[in-house]
Amino acid sequence: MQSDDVIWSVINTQFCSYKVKNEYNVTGLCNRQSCPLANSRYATVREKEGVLYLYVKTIERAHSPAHMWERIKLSNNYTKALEQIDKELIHWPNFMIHKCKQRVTKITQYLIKMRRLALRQQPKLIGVKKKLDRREAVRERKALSAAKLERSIEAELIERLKSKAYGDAPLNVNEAVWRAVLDRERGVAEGEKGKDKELDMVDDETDEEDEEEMEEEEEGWGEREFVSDLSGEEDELSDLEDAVSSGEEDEEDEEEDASNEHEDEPPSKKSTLGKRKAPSRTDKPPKKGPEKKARRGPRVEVEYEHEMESVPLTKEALASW
Amino acid sequence: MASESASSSGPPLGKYLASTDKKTRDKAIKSLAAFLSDPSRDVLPKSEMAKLWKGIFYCFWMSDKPLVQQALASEIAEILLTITKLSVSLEFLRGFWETTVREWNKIDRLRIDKYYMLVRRFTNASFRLLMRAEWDAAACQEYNSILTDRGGPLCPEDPRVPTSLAYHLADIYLEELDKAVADSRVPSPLPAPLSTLLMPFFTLAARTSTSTTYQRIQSALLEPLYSALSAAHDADLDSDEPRSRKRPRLSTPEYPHLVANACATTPKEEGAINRATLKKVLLRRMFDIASEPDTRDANRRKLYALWKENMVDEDDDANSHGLDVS
Repeated sequence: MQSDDVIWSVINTQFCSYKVKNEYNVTGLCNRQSCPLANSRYATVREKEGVLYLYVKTIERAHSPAHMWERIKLSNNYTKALEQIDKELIHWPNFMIHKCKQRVTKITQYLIKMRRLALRQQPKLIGVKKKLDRREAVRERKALSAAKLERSIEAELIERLKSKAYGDAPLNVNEAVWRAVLDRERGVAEGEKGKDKELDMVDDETDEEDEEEMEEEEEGWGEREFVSDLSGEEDELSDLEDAVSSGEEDEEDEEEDASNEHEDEPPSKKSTLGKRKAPSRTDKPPKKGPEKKARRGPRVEVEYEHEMESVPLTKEALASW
Repeated sequence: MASESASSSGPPLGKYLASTDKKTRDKAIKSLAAFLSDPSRDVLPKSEMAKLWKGIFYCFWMSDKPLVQQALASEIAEILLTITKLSVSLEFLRGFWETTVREWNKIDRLRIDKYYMLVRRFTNASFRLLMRAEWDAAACQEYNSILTDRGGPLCPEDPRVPTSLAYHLADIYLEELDKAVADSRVPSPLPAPLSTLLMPFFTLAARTSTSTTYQRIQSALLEPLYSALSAAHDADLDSDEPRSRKRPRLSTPEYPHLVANACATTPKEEGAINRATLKKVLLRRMFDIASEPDTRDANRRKLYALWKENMVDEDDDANSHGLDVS
């Protein structure tokens, strides 16, 4: 049964979610005649990817919404398409036939226009996203600085030099660096300067503060005779610690060099190992003279050992890469 | 399928006839034709026929597309002729008219055209059926009773019968009769007994309570017929005489085959009779019915007027013709 009038009375007086926006509407008007919902017999023309289709619905298919619309492909040729509509909608109300034809005309025209516009070369406009660009730039900068690229690469390279990954006589190596490496191998006592340099480079955890400290050290030692209470206290403490640490450092040095000559106070070393590092670093420059420098070198070797936790690249490892 | 198995045992189920799927419906119609045309089949009981026709009605209801509808209408109407027994055919026809009259008001405006077409096809098929039965008097009588009985489309007493059916029948009746007579499939057809076949309309015109129905019968059926009979009379005897002399009848149908091959009541005895005679017989029959006591007064007056007009015409024609000849 057709219930067109009921549908229309609801759509017209109560609610319609489409109004004229229903895509099957053939005229684009909202009235009884051209409402695709309130007409069981309806025909319209739609365009899909440049192809025209005639959509037809009849009362006999109204009960099955899946098959309600019959889609008929229209010819590309305008006059043939009109003939096709005449043929398909034979005995239909003139209104439908006329409106379908009008729609074919309109769609054909805009398709032609679209093709013409597509052929014409036009500059493509792209929006500038200022905010986004700025934010990206800041992020990039921050990421770079966070990565500490230079330092980590440097450390890695020196690590390779040490482990002889580049052989015994590497090419293209900074003279000073190579010498430092060699010196360190030969012995701890000689080549203070070189070792310092090497340490500078080797130490992954040393930051700029340490470097500055060292410079301070070198430039003005002996100046700081007078210190505050706290530092004085610390001095005493550190003296004691020094007494302990000297042996310890020696021992560690020897361990490092694989020259197990003597081992003093293994228990004390273990007890003080953890807490001694932090204060000693800040307080060493004021209290130590140049002669203490020899001590200080090996002490940093502890950190180097710490560094050893990440397995250095050896010759074999590189070869098997 | 069940509809196929049904062809041997009972009538096909209405469920299959009214299926959404076209293939199922086609199969059901095929099995229905096979079921009904079985020569050993007796007349179905009334209730069975009503059920069957409800199914066929909705089968046609579901059919989509003009060409499919035409084919289906022809196919259903053709069943009337594939049935071998005349009594079964007439029962089938009675089922058609009863169902149509009963269901007519439920048909919506979008489907009404195809049902008009079905009516037309059935009218045509029933004329061919009667012609095949050599215009048997009993069969014609039965046919008239199907149309005018209670539940028939031309019943004057029942006010619930949709008048549109009577209008439509009046429009197409002679046209279809003409086509049936002209049907080349039947060699040397017997003349159609017009007087008998028009009885339902004479009766309806005389007894109908609505003046529009009477008007329609007169304007669509009786007047064109009388004018065709006179026109053929003219054309037959003095064909070079300009026809526009009497009335502008450019649009009036002429029923050439029917006019050339018609009789009053008994085709076998009378043979094809003269148009003037036939017209007189028809007018006489109309007059008789108009003078029956059941006739409504208003309709009687109009029928008398029509009769008088045509009789005068006839006299005029006869006189002028007589003058021409002499």
